[in-house]
Amino acid sequence: MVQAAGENLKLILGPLRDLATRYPPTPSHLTTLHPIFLTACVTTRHFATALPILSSPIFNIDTSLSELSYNDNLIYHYAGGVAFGALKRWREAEEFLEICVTAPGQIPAAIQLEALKKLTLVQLILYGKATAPPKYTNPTLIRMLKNTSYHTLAKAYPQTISSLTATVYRDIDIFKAEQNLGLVQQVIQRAPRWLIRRLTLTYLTLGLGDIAKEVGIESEEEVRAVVVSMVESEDINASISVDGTVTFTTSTAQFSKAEIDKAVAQAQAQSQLLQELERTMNSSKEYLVKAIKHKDDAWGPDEDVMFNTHPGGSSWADENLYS
Amino acid sequence: MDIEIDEPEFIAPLKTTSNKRRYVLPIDDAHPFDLDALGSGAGRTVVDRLIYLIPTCPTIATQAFQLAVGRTTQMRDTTLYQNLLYAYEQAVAVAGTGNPLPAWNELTPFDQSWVDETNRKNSEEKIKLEVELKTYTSNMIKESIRMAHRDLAEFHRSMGDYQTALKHYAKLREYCATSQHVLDMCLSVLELLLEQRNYAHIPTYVFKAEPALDATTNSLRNSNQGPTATQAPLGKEKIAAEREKVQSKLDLATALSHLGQGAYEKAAGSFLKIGPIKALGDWAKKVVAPSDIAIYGTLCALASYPRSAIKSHVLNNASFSVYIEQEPYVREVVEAYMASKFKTVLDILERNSTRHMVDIHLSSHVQNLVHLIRSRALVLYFQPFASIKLESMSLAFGWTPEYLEQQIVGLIQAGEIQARVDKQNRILQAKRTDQRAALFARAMKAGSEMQATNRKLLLRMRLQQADLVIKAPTKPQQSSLGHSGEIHQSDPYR
Repeated sequence: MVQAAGENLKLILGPLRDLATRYPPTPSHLTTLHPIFLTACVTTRHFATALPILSSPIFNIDTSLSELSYNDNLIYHYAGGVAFGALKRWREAEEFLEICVTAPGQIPAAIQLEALKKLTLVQLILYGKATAPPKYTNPTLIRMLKNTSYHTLAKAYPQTISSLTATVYRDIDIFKAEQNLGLVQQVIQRAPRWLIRRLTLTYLTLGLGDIAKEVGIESEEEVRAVVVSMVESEDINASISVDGTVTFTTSTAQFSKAEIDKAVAQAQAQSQLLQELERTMNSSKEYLVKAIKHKDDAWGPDEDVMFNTHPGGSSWADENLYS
Repeated sequence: MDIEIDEPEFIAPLKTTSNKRRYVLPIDDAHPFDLDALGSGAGRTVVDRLIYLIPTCPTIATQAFQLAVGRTTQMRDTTLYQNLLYAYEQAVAVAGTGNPLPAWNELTPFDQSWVDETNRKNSEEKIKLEVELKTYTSNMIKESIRMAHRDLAEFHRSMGDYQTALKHYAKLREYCATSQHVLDMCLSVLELLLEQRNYAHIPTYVFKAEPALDATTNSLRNSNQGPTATQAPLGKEKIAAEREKVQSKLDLATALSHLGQGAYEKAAGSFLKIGPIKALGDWAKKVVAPSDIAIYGTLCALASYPRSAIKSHVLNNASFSVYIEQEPYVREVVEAYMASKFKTVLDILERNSTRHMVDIHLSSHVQNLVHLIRSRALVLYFQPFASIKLESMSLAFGWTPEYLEQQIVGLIQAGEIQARVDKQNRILQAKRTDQRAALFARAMKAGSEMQATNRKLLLRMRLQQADLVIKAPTKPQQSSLGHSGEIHQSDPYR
């Protein structure tokens, strides 16, 4: 159908979307339709049409439904990440790109490297620094990233706009060729905000002129505008007085009981799911065979004989606890 | 000047260790320095120190030079003599037109005859020793081979040829029969390394020496069981004294090596462990003066220990106070620090900065140590306050408020001080965190992150179950490239 549509891709977006919503048993199943649909959306720049499909995260695979290949997974999440990024929903973009990057395999695929580059840029936008990808990522991938200019940008971040632009300028052709220039520019635009964020940690009050000096923006008006936008988006808490001094206050987020209840309910639901999963696996024939064989060897976690990513989940989650 | 250039053995000038910067240090009433104390030492280190001293302090260069010349002509190293002359040249150049120093050949004529004579004697000696070594090796008498190697090593060391000396010591190791031999060898090597300031190798030899030391003491003890009962207790004391001597030397060597590598905390520990001066024996003159030990130990301790540790280890330490007696200002520094009179501390350090800078072991670390001590002082000073005016703090330290602010911002960003600067009102305010709210925030964050991670891991597991893993590059790789190309016909973010 896609080939048939040819140039008029946007005509088929509607039908594709309906098909994609109705075909899989639950929205969380991945099918071959997903990547095709997403690719169409991204090429025609109709990112919003993909939203309903994207908003249910994938965690079910059923190969009996359609002939899936690993590429479907990769492309779907890559295109999804791109779509979210275009819609400026950075958090979801990061998640999708991360899934693409961490797809299991012996050796990395080229698309994963692209995803990793975009992921670094998105992380710079979101957090002001690039975090390391999870442990189960292919190490070759990480090594490959180290040689690129994205890595240098991530390390140099955040600095004043002028110095960042200078750093970027050297590699501007690479960025352009990989169609990442727009992202890079957004990254640089947001740099002052991270610098100001850092200032709030050391200073209680600061004049607009001083901020301008630190951040490297010339006009005080611009600085004022940035500070105001940051306060609005709740990045920092500050008040600007008449004579141009900015007072920073810390406020820790207050959580209502309802929010906490909701979070607890979600956690319980997920742990329920995991328990059921474990039960089904425990009763599976292959596991029982192996467990009996190894009963004499070790008491320990025998699950990792079968699927060695599963029990690692708890230890990785622990790492994030106090970050 | 022509004589030097023609001199065939003129080797390239004084090799400088990595970051020695030559800058001129004043020596006056504000910066006292005791040249005689330096001169009372013995051995090669004195000349080394003087050579280091001369270009950096032109004001006393002439006296130092004369002292050094006297010493050098007593030894047999001609290259050292030339290094000395070169150093003096540098001092003359540095002193420039302001305060011209007399050229060296006005002070003492270049003693060409001495140089020639010594060179001749040296080569004779070398030949003689090498012939001895050959004879003994052919005779295969272990003990004499060992002694021949040892003599050669000593000879090369006094010539200043460290590499060959080290080689001979290494060969010596093979012929060591008793642990006493091993011990002697280790001690000589340690002396050599300290002269060379080769800090990295010192720990290896200390580790070699310690078991040898244990073995020797044990054997001495055992051999003393035999004789009569009256002699045995005497023997025990003597053994303990012997052991202590060697142990102190080893401690000193370890401490200097830690200092040289910048591990100030470990260095402080080792310095404070060193036994009484008597135990150091001739090392006290040859390697490091006791006053120097006091200075090194206190500076390292101040830079790395908390106050309680300083009190117990430095002030209440009986053996270390003997060292402190040698250099009274050290005691003043420590007492001022304990009483939080940081201005006094910094003043005393400033006054003796010259003394510290010209010390060969300490000079590259002085900046670091002073900086560390300063940061600690700032942190300690701020601890009891919730908020303090920057002016009053700068008064306490004797700095300008701007300079203080810079230092403080640096410390806050390094995470040492938990406070924030109120630039308008020029106040430093301590941070108060609401623990309960912070706890909630952490818990929520952890919850959502864990859920996300679990989800991703489930997906990954399912992928692996379904065998949807990435395989070796054949056609699939190309098609994936093709796909990403399809998606990016235009930059989606422009």
